[in-house]
Amino acid sequence: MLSGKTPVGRLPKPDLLLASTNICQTVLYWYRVLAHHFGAPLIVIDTPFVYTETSAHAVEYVQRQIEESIPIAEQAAGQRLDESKLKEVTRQSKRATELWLEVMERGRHRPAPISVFDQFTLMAPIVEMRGESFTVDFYAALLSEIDERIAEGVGAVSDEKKRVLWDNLPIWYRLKYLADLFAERGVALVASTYTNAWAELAPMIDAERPIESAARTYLHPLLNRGAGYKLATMQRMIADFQIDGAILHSDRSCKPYSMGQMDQRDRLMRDLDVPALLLEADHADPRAFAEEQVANRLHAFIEMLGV
Amino acid sequence: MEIGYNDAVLTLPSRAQTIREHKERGGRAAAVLPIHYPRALFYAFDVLPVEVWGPPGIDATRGMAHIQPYVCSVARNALSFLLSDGVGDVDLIVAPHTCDSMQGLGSILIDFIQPRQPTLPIYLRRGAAGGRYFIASRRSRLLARPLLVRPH
Repeated sequence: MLSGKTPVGRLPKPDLLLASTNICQTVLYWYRVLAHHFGAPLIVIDTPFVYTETSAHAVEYVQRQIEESIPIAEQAAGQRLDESKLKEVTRQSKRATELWLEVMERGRHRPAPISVFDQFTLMAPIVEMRGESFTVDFYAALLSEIDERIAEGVGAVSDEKKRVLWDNLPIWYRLKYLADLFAERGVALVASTYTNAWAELAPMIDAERPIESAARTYLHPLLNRGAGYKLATMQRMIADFQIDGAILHSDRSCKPYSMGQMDQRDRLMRDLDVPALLLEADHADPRAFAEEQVANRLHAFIEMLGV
Repeated sequence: MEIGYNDAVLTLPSRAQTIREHKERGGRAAAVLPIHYPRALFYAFDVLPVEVWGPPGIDATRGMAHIQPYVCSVARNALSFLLSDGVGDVDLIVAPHTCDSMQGLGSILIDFIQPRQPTLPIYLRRGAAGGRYFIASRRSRLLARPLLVRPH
């Protein structure tokens, strides 16, 4: 981003940077570097990790931080907060998130009309442009297209034989390689805890109480919750999407997501009798991706599925 | 001038012995993972905090069954130490939220390993706004735990 050698060019100088602790902690370091590089103010919203249950004072704590960040944002924007606009943006966020959830739930169909690899690229608007009306339009159109595929019996993978769950972030720099590897064997990756994490909190978003509901929503992403909750999420998705096997991407650069996966894998195999693979790589650093080793492990895993 | 060494100074009691003696005097003991925790609060309630940093010379394979090799060795070795009962007869395990690794270790203890002692996670706030309120609220919840209630 700083070099400008990207498809979208150089990152423009921000007037304000805002990050939250509810994500891979590498993100905080990115923002600290950006704040230092640009000399821009940085707001960090601290969202206490939810080990088992959320306390009322944790919600209150996050809410206070959001409220106290408003004057800083107003100064950067040069205008006062318009509360009716905030409610409208929150309403659009909720609608877009609900549509995104519906898009992914279509993966329950056989054959699945959309793969996890499609989801990884189609998730960009829900991550970056959640409160915009065109984001709602985009996911409404996508849902309509997916329904057409279902009506016509078109699957994301031709001749779908087995269905797999993906856990953790994608290996961004090898999406096509992995998509082709699975598709050639008739294995469809139909559900992902990561893309689901950007949708499952839709019911928490409340446009009538935008700041309080934002505090509650920012506390509860999958990444900010305990290892047991992550396991329960996988177990539910395995049942809902009729999953035959699970791949848990053990992501070096996102320890909050990855720690607990060894026990999660063991529980999936022991309690659900589902083949589960712990695949070590990194979502951003290709030096942690050993192609031959990955290929060997994935082919062995696909054989375990009986393909 | 020759420095004289006292045998008593050189013979340090083991963790287990220190914990045992403290409990024989009516106190209780907590194994505390790194790094920051309300030490004074524990002492005030006669709970001896015993820090567990993952000492050398232990069988690390126990921790390796739960924590990936790329995660901080302090977390992995501390877990190995806890699983091998090296820390002695403690009443509580305290898991401060020091970093990703300690956060994950606390979560694994609570959700999967479930040791015989309760595990108490302690989250240390990282935000400026509302920080005093958050810490005060955490302290109130901590004081409400049975282990830290003074016996009559």
